[in-house]
Amino acid sequence: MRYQMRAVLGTRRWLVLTLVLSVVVWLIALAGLLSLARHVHDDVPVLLAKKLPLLKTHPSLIFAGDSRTEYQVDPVLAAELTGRRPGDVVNIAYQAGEPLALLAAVHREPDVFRDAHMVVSVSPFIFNEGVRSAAVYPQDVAARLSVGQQMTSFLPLRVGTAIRFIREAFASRLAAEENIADRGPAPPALGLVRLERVEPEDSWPATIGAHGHYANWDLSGPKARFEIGALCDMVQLTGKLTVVIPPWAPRYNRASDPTWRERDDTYVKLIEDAGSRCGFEVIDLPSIPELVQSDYADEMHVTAKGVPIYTRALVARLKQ
Amino acid sequence: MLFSSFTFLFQFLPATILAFAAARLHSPRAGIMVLVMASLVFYGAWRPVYLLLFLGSVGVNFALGLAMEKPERRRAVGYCGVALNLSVLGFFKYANFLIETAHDVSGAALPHLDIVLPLGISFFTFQQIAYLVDVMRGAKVERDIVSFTLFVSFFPHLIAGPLVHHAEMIPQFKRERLGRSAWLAAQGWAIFVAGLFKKVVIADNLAQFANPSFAHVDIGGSLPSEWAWLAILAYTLQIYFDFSGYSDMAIGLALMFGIRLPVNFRSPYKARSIIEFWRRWHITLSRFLRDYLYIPLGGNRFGIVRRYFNLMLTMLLGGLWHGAGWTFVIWGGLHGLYLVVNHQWRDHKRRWPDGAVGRAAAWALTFIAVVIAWVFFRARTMAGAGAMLASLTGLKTTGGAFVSDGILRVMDLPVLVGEGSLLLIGWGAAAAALAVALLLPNVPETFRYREYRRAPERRGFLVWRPTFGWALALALALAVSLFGMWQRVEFLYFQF
Repeated sequence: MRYQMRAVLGTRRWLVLTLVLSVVVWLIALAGLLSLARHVHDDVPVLLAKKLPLLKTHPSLIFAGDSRTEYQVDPVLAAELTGRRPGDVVNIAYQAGEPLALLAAVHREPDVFRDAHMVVSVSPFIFNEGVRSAAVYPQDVAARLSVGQQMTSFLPLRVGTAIRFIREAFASRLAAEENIADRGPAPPALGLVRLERVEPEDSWPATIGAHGHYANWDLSGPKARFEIGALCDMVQLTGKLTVVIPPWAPRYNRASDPTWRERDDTYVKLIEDAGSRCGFEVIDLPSIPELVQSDYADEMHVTAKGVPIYTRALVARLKQ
Repeated sequence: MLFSSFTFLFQFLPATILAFAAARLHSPRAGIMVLVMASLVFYGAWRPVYLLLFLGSVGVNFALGLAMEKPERRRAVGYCGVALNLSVLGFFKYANFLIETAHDVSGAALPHLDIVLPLGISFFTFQQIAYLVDVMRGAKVERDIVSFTLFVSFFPHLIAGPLVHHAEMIPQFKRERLGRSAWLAAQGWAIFVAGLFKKVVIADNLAQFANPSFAHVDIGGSLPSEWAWLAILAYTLQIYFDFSGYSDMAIGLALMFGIRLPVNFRSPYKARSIIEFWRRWHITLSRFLRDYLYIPLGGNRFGIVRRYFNLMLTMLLGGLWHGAGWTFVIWGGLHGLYLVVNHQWRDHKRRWPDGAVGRAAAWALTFIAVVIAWVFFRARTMAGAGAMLASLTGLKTTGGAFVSDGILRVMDLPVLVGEGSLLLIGWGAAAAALAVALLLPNVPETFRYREYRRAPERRGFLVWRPTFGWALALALALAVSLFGMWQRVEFLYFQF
């Protein structure tokens, strides 16, 4: 009986030891993989590399940035409105696109950007240190953190962000080695992707102040530092740089949402201060009167119906 | 929900273990109730609507069992029950196959039915058919719906086996004690991690050397023979490590709750004859086919010709059980043919020469025969299987040539290595996996697993003990597997 009891206790200790060792080994392996990922990471991600073949025509107007350009700006219409030939305006924006990646693309093809007007959309999650979810964390910022900073920033609850960084790093290295930016086919519609489906009512956030992009509001971290730095660096490398802050769906009212208003004001001020300091133009579009609620697919993206309206409004502001 | 998913490992499993432990403090029966609830949640997580079908199947078969208590209607009810189960399985699994075959034969325009195959239907239907047949033969009717439901639904074996027998499961649910739980939990966890490693690290990484080649021949292309042999060898090892890894995980999970599942694999590629192979490969299916098909057909009781006919028919239907397609029928037929030849060889008292050469020749012939049969199992089309066989023999076909992308995926992390290096790495990986399959003891041996009311597995040179060294080895295996889990590759046997 005593022997049996000792055996049971020993087995319990062994189980605990196995679990503890698993955690330790996993952390060491994660650190090793993160270090390797930092080494292989290329600042031009796959999603952007796939769009770079559009630059072969040496466009004079390049729309870039995040999904609020990818889904909302029609380059064909923009060319027509600005009196350019088709192909002279392109849309190289991609989901969760970040200025650091654009800067890497500019360094890669300096001649293409030197005389072009680049219009870059930005969103709060790119600068807000409090947003650490895997889907939108800027990968090039992650690559600039040390392994220790990555682990303390993302563990334990945001381990998915660390894992995404590892996967994206290897994918970006492969894209660079396969040279898909030069050899790949140009995407259709000059880079515009249309959203057809409207999100169901229960997936719309109640308020923007409580939206994930404004969570744990902090503009003092490495995200803001590196991404603002990238915008500033691009000023000298492009013909003209314009940074756009697109609107949210009209159902949301800034006036009755003090959290949103307060945080959004600091965010807009951050961009505008950088613009005046570094010399880029900032277009803040808190609302576009012609865009109505039914033109929106979700709280921040217009449907295909809203694309021409948004494009016209943006081009009109660019012309001013 | 995959066993190799983060949701299962970090949410479902800990929650179920904690709930089970808490319930068992109250009574073993409460623990069993928790396992039933967890199993239904596990199944419902896939497609809630099919949970109704599953519960309907369990309810109807339980009621049929009760109706068979009266001896005068036992056979009639039993036959109706078996027919009903086969009809449901036939509708979901074979309706489109029959329609397509009728269309091919007659040329008539027949509609394709939009049917989603319920997860694990082949497994839970066969288990219940076995129950009804046994009751017809005089086995005791199960009157406890909770135990019966758990026998069918117990989540470790629910989706892809091992195929369990009511007589080895239900008595375990009714014991007052569920064994030395700390020891069993440690042993179960160790077996689970070993299975996870086999699946996620070995099988999933081998898949990259098989999938593109088979996809290429299935669309009419041809392969250089070195790529063709790599593809079929990689698949041979992938399916073994995938399915046996799944079975190990199932056994380990069940053991954590004090339940012993039957062993499903005993190093099948070490077999030196096809008869031996089927005693080592998917053992619970072989057992089912033997007890509920081969023996009722007459087995070996009516002469040699009838015996071979029974063998062929059993294996053909065994092939069809795996999937609704002619490639599976041919796979089963090939194994039936192999078995007939093997029995002929044995019946005529022919023997391989004694010694290492004879043993090696017997092993090599068996292994090659199994590998060739896997071509039909893996190819999506007959034309694809034909093109793969032609490529294996170096014959030129008219299809487009194969160009590898030269990308190695280590746990799904892509690295551009070039076509030549990828081929070399592929052969190295296949050779290493084959060495593991041939030279190491299998998981039940390593962990001295014991089936319900059986002696422990024979002892290999590697034996698990709750020591620091084993803790470190399993920690390494788990840590590496966790990085592989982001691949989210389904188990091959889920489709059956």
